[in-house]
Amino acid sequence: MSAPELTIALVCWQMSREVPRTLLSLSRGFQRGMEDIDYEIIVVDNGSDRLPEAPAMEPKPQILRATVPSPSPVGAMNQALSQARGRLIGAWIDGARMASSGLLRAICGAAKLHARPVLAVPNWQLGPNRQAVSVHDGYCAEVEDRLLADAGWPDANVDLFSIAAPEMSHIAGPMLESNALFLRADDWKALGGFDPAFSEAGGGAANPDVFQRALALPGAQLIRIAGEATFHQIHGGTTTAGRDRAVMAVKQAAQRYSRLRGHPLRQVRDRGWIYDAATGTVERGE
Amino acid sequence: MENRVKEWMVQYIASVLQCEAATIDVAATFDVHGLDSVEAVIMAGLMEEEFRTAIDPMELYENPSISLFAEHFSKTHSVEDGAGTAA
Repeated sequence: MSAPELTIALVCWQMSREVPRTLLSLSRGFQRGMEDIDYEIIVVDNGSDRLPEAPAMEPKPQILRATVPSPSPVGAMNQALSQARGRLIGAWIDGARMASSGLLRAICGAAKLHARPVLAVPNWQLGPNRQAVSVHDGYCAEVEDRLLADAGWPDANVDLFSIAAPEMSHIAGPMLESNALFLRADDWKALGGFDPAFSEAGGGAANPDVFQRALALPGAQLIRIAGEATFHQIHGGTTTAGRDRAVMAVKQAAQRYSRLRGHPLRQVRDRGWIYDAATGTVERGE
Repeated sequence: MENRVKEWMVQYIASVLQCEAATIDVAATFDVHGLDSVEAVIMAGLMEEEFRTAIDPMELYENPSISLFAEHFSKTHSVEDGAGTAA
């Protein structure tokens, strides 16, 4: 069996409401322009009461239990990465994030531009604001379900951007992390995956850390994907469950990161290249 | 304490921006330095460890420069002996 072009390696825990939508958003039926590209989806469940159910879709996701469930998603993430067969692998550390409909096609297009690409998709959050803020105005799972239904989900023409808020001020701005971080398989091997030292619940700064380390690989090229995104569904995660919990989670993650790495947690300020998913063109900023 | 906080913040922001501390203008607002709300929370978390006192990121929004925050901090926070001495 030949290796697929692309693997999405996804982790979840107690997301029976959210994961089916995430998976459907990654399906060939929802993703535009993927008819001729072979890809696979691997889900590792990090110890939920019951495994999430996959909708009827192509490609059929492979859903696995974490070998060693843990409060941190890092072990499950590394297990998913180890199962991946794709030449290009995307780490999807939060299974509650839906994909925009051109995301996978854009990744495939942008990956062709460089031998060692670090492909970063911006994070958005469903709802009128960051969910840590909007929950105080009544935003909840039921409101989100209605929002998605009213926008037309699961129709492939749904405009998720119109019902969501960005985490970054603009595409070239400081970037802490990407929930859809794609590297070549060899580069994931060179990194050794995510660092198990981030053993705290939620993984702390494990995802920003792997982003920084990927960019530090010799010859690596950051490519930001403009016009595509992942969209967080509300589920009581560590940074979207209300302002106080979000602030505490970020503070603790920053403290732990600083102790582990010996310097502050920094956002990525390198503008890198910006790949316009709508036109397939790249702005190198030179 | 005001000067210790000011010096810590200068070193911290220089480290985050990866520039020389001498280039940091203590009167400039945090957004002029290019720091956003996420970085304000990160900075508050590390200041808490350094000075061993709880810091609400809103204090940084309401006192949005190194000078303003250091003055505010020295008036409103009691700090344990020895806190904030490790540069």
